[in-house]
Amino acid sequence: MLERIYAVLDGEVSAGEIAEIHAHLEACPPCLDEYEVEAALKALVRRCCVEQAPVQLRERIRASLAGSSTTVTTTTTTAVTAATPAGVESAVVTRTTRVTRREG
Amino acid sequence: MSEDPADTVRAPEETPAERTARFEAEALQHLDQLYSAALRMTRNPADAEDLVQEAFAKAFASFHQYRPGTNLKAWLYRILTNTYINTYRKKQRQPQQAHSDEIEDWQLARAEAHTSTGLRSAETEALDHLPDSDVKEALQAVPEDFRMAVYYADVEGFAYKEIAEIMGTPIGTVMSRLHRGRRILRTQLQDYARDRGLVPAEPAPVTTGSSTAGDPS
Repeated sequence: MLERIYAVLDGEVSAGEIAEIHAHLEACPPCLDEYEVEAALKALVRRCCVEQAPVQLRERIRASLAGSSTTVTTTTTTAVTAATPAGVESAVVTRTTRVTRREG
Repeated sequence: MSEDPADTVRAPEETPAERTARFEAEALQHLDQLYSAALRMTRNPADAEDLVQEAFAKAFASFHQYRPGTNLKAWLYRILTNTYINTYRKKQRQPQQAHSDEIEDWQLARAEAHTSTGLRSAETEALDHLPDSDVKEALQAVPEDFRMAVYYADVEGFAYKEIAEIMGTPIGTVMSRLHRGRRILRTQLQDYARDRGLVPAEPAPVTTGSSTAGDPS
């Protein structure tokens, strides 16, 4: 039954099969419980795994696309960790080198 | 010169600048999703960024092979997956790889042992109260192929057939990875919920003179 529960939750069954499985769930509390836990689990994974890409990553990719036609952009990111009396401070140093190719 | 129908169906010739613009407009809009997936693969932000950047570079280089009208997101995911397998997975230390089968067996055995414990409605409730960080951590602990199958189905909502194409496996394998991944994840989350006091400790296997309405078995 678990495979069928997954199939319903994952949208892999026809309308007819959905009706059939729903009818079973309504008559079978253990399966209904199982269905509810699996539905909650699926919703939870979806909720927790949506991330936003860092802005710099987007910019780096854009720059590299532009670079493949006329300009080559090399970005070097170096994480610098410096120990200070107050503790440890981190800084990210970004170096961008732009080289323009001239053809002809 | 006779006209070749196969050629006329092809996308019209475009200048490099037009192709770049089209790639930016169509492919780059999936950046957040690909980054999320890369994070689940590499399990750390620095590697995820490198992986995504490399995957986009490869996708751009072979963008002429992409057929307009087909699923661009799935195409990008396939490139991401291949890039990951070809470069990043190799970097992982061998001992970790050697142990993964054992860990997997152990996790599965535990997941199977848990299926009959009667925590269910409490479990659904508890899942809703778990912080995101617990869920991400639990997911990290699921073996990679299972984890990614769960990710593709639950977060991206890909059909089994699409997941099969992305992962380069038959649909049956996708289904078994999903099944095993979900069972392991569920067991892990039960542990987190218990540690946080969201569900009562697991009931003792034998109770004498029980006043609770236990599982009918």
